[in-house]
Amino acid sequence: MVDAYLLANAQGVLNRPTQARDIWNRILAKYPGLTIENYEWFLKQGLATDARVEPFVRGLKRAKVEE
Amino acid sequence: MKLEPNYLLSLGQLATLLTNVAEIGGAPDRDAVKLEACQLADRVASMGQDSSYALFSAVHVLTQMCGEADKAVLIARRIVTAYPNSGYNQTQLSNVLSHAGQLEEALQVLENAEQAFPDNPWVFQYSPYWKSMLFTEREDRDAVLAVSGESLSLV
Repeated sequence: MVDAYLLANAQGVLNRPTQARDIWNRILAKYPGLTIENYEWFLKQGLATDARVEPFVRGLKRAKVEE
Repeated sequence: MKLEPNYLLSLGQLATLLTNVAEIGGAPDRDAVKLEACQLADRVASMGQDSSYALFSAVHVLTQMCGEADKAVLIARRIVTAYPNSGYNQTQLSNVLSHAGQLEEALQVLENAEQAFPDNPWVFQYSPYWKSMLFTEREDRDAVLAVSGESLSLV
């Protein structure tokens, strides 16, 4: 489970939105409070800059996993 | 919850739990949770006792929640030097190095840990995760799929 965010994001970056959404929805089933905004906030605490955070959420946003 | 004030592991684990709650969106006031987690982690790190699990709990929080990766690297290196035969310590060091921007060394630490501790459950579970973090930052998505696809468990 721990790397599911990363896998969903990678699928989104590789233009596989269906796979990205499927993984994201399975994560949400376990952690219903999760949002991209919160995930982005969390990453920013450790990675410090928007430039370092962006590759971790690009695919999630591109795949529109929250729509 | 009341904790024994000098039991470092419980303080470190509470800091880690708070960090995890903030990560998954379970904290209504995440800035307050961050403040509490970072205060606990600082306390554990500053008490100077040599409990590797407690210190790595603090290191994890300092790295991922408090933006203090450089400080965490110093602590992590000290622990690994004191306890070199721990796969757990090695994987945690890699995460800290990664957050500090030392990506090449972080990857090397993981590969060394996989070779040195092939049967360690912590290395088995977390090395793919930290590798996926490194490969994401390097924009190598195929490598993320190769690594995460092997380890993903959504059960």
